[in-house]
Amino acid sequence: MSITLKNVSHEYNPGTTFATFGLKDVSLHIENGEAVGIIGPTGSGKSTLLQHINGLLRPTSGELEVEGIQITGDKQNLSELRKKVGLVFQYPEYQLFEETIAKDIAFGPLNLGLSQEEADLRVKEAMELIGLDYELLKDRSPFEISGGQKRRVAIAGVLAMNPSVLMLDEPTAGLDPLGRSQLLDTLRSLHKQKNITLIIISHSMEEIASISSRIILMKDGEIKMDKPVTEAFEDVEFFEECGMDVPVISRIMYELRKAGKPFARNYATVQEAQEAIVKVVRHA
Amino acid sequence: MLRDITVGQYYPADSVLHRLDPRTKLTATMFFIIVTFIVKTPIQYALLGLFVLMNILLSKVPVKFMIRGLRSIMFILLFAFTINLFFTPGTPIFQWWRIRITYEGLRLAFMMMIRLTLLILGTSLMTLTSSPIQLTDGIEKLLSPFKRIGFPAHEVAMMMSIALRFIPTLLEETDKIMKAQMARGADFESGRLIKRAKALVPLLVPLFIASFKRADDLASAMEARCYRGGTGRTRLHELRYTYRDAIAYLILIGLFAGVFLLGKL
Repeated sequence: MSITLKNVSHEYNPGTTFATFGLKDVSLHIENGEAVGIIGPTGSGKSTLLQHINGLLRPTSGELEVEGIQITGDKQNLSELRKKVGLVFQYPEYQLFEETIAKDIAFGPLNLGLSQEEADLRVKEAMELIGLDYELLKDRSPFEISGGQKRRVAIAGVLAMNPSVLMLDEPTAGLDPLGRSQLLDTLRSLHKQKNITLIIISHSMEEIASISSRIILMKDGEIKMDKPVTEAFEDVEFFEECGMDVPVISRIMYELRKAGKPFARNYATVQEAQEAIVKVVRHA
Repeated sequence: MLRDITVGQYYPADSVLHRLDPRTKLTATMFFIIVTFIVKTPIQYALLGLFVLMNILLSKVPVKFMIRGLRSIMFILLFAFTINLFFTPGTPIFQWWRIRITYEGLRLAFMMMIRLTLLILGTSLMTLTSSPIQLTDGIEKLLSPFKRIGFPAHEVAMMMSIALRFIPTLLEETDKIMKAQMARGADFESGRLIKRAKALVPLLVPLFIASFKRADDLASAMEARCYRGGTGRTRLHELRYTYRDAIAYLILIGLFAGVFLLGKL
């Protein structure tokens, strides 16, 4: 099971004067269980790409196969696909609508045709996975809890559908620092425990470097770079050209190397950099 | 579908019509509507058609764009045409089983279609050549004499411009929430009426909540910038009549006189 895009293009408002490309000739293959981080300036087609993988947008040209399901330009029933691929939108807390948190999370599973009992089980499981107290919160209104908790409820609503691919569009935007790191920890352990394929969009390079094993840089609807995280932040000039920045630690390592210090590469995480620095200092 | 509706859409260009005072355009449109309902004879229609054609050419709005606007009301046009064609009593010119077309019906159907087409073309010219802000400014200014009897002209205009401003935002928001719920397996497209209506709950509740929140935020933002209603408020663009408006009013009077005189023939 994997995700394959072959020369996929998507045009918004085709045939009008407002026609613009959301995706331009994108080819991509994502294996099962990968953790992919997508970065790029606003309007670079990141969200458009995610919406294609979920079948919410159809390609204007090209081939797209997700988890063994061919997505074409025509109308087709995509409930099988939605079962396997979960998409958490930007600020997902705005989609909450039910009277109680448990009911809201059960919305997805019930749409998949599960019985009430099965859905309840899924709700409980999803809330535990995302770190929400089931007994305490299940009967409360989703509108009276804090922003960070709302976000968790919304993500639980997608997790409850038990997807094998989980895509998140800027999941930490607007959260406080503690909420951020907690959510990232949760996602990391989800990825490890359940071997879910993770695809995450973020504007924070630190975040993306800490959670993904592969980095894709998009700009103007095209994939400009697709590298493992260990190699992604080597070319600092290239990132600047694209209007992006590398993680602070990678920049420090880059500057140190430019000054002639013997480091092998621009490490992407503080942990790796720390180990490397300790080694170099000991050696000296 | 939503994109096809040109009624109420602004087409930015630099033309004589664009530069007219919005008050002139509003008044002219009002009189134009009245005139379209008084004209009866073909020659009067010809004059009116000529007037609309002249304005379209003056407006620099592509004819293709105007016709696309008509497409969205095609159904209404055809409906009116059919009703008039088959259900007007008079001298029959064609009869088959129960279907009968009369001379009067044919005439009326054509006239009605031309009338509706002219009406839509004429009125959409107003919105095509004036931005929503200009229009609400115009409405405020036109209604301001009624302030003396307690009519809240400024407030009405402000409400209108806020409402217009947030239509695209609301559409965008609807699209976003709809997609989010579809990603959770919601189905907005199939099923019977009641099931479909129920399916709208996950869409409408978040929309309402977001709208109330946005209204609240907007109110705070306006207060933070010391908004306190229309009294004592000055404007960046003061509406001012120019010679162009005088000419426009003269042409309008000319049209009136023309239609009146042609009716006497």
